[in-house]
This record gives sequence, C-alpha cells and structure tokens, in this order.
Amino acid sequence: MKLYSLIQFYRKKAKKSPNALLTLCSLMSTRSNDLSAFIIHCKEMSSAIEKEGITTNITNFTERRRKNLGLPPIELNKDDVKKLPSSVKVTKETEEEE
Amino acid sequence: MKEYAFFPGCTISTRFPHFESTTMKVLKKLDVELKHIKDWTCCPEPLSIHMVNSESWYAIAARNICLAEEMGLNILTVCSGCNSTLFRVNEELKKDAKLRTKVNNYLEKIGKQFRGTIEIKSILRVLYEDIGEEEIKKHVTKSLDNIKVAVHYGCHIFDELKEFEENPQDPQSVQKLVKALGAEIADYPSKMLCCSGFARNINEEITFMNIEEKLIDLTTVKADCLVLMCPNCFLQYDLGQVSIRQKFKRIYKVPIIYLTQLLGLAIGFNSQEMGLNFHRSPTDSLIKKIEGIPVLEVS
Repeated sequence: MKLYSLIQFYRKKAKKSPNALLTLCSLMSTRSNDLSAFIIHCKEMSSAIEKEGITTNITNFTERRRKNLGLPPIELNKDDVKKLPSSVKVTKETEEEE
Repeated sequence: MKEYAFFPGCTISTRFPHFESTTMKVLKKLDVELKHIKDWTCCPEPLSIHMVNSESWYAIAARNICLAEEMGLNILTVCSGCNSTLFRVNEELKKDAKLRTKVNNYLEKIGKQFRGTIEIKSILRVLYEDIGEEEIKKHVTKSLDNIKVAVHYGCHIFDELKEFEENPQDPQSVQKLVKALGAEIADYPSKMLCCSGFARNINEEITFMNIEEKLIDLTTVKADCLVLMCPNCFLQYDLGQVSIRQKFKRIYKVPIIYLTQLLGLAIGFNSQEMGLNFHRSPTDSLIKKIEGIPVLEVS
C-alpha cells in the first residue's frame, strides 16, 4: 500500500476511533526514516526524564512567570527517579526494530 | 470544600503556567482547593519512555501516585498526557498483583509503596462528575449565549472517559459543560482527529496536514473558538496557526481556549485574569464577543 493511501486510511480511522494517536504512530512506523526518528525521540525524552525529572526546561523566565501568576516554584525530586529502573537499558524488541 | 492533590505536569508548569493558575482560580470559586504535590517528576510522558522501557514508566508513575497517596487525596490532572499515564498505571497496578509486587520492589529502594488508595481524575472529570453542570450553572454570571464553541477531546483523555461517559466512543461531557455556560456547540467533521502532537518532532508533514484539516473545518462552521483540555493539543493548534502562517502563508484565526479559561470567562473572570493574553492564536474576536471590548494581544 502506498504511503498516501495509508495516510488516508489512518486518518479516516482516526475520525472514528479514540486511538487516533496510536494509529498515527503505526503510520509513522511504516517509514523507516520516521521509525528511526521516533525511536531517537523516545530515547531523548526518556533520558531527560531520568536525568532532570522533567521533559521541559525550567528557565529563569519560567520561574518569574510562575511567581507573577502567584504559583509556587517547581519542586522536583530527581534523586528518587535515578534509583528506579532505567530506560537506558533498551529492551531487546526496540533494538531489533532499530 | 473538596480537595485534590494537584499534578500540573511538565508542559503546563513550565510552558503554560497560566492554565495552572486559571484552573486554581476557577476551582476555588467552585469551592475546590488544589494542593500542589511536592517532589513530583514527569508523569512520565505516556508514549516515549513506555516504549523504551515499560518498567521505568510504571515505577516513575507509581512514585508520583504514592506522593498523593501520602497526602490522602485523589490526584487532579490538567494535562491529558499526565492523566493517561497516571490513570492507566493506577488502574493496572490496582488490578495486577504481580505487576504491583514488581513495581513495589523498585519503590522500596526509595522508601515508598503503592497502595492503590486513590483515584486519578482529569479536570474534565472533576468538573463534570464531582462538581456537575447544575452547580456550574449556578456560578455563571456572564452567559456565553452569543458564542459558538467547537470541542476537541484529544486522544489521551480517552483512557479515562469510560469512567464517566455513557458512550466513550461518542463523548458528550465537554459539550454538556459548554452548554451549561450558555454557549452553542459547533459540530464539525474532524472533531475526533488527532492533533498529531507526537509527530511534531518527527514528521512535520503529517502534523501540518492534520492541524490544517481541523482549522479549515472550524473556519467553515464559523466556530468562535476551539476548547480543549490538553496542553500538547493546545500547542499544536495555537502555535500551529503561527507556524502555518509563516511556512505556507495561509492564515487562520481560530482562538484556542483551555477548558477552565472558558469556564472562568463565564463565571466572572476577565480575559487577563484567564491569561488569554498569553495565546499566540488571535483571541481578540472572542474577547470582544464576550466582554464587548477589544483587548491588545501580547505577542
């Protein structure tokens, strides 16, 4: 099936099904470039979570803006996460897909 | 007064803190207090880490749930991604003793234990199930009866919908809440279409194609705004309009609004208090319709 037909198929399905995101990922897995990019992205996100405890940057601007909005500072605990199982040990299946 | 352990998540706490403050203001007016969870980390994000190492995903999520268990409060999430992770992990660990034992072995290293004593609730579920349309109606001071609102559920909220929707495949809770504010619902063909947020860093072509399909539909049905509950979907449709304008020179003017912002506008808060000045999509037409005065936007 050509990529365009696949896109149309999944888009029609996504309109009827709540699992639209999963279908979209399935769609991406049909192209090797996208699959590689997808896996790299997953690893980067996982690494950020395990190192920093968060996937986004906490900048001075963020803190100032939170303060201006009357919100408390962001209080993360990175240390606990480092003691939990690490995603750096990539599963066998993921390596095979790569 | 109802109380919840508040889990804003990475994206809202850093990129859209005005959704966090808006939610706190609105819920306070509805007699709900939110207590921030201390020492939290990323939920973790529902797809990536789960695909790389599911054990890590379960353990980190369970740790976050333990923090709320220690507070003795149900978790309220304002991000559908956080809701998806925490809801799924909470349900699975409650049901699967073998998995629970495995995860608790990891948690033991940091002096924690998953007990399964709390529930995970999205802002949608709290508004719809715990507070209810009738109670919300009582607080409406400015009926939105001249506003046509389109609804976007977003993929991740579907994990939880089975808890409070009669037909989770055809959810109605947001529409009912919007109607309680006096607004009209703008139905449109691509209502259930994914925002493609996860593809943003991988395949822009798919992302822009899906964003534009929805924006075209919303423009066609003359929706005054699109209401949603997910910061990633917000990013796609709000900033997405700017990206499409810059990249393809095609202009869309659809205000994108977080659910509690719309609610706040109806129960007496003004657009500044609801943080509409932080949006990249043009909100002036909506503000003018609701407040009757033009407001300058901050770019």
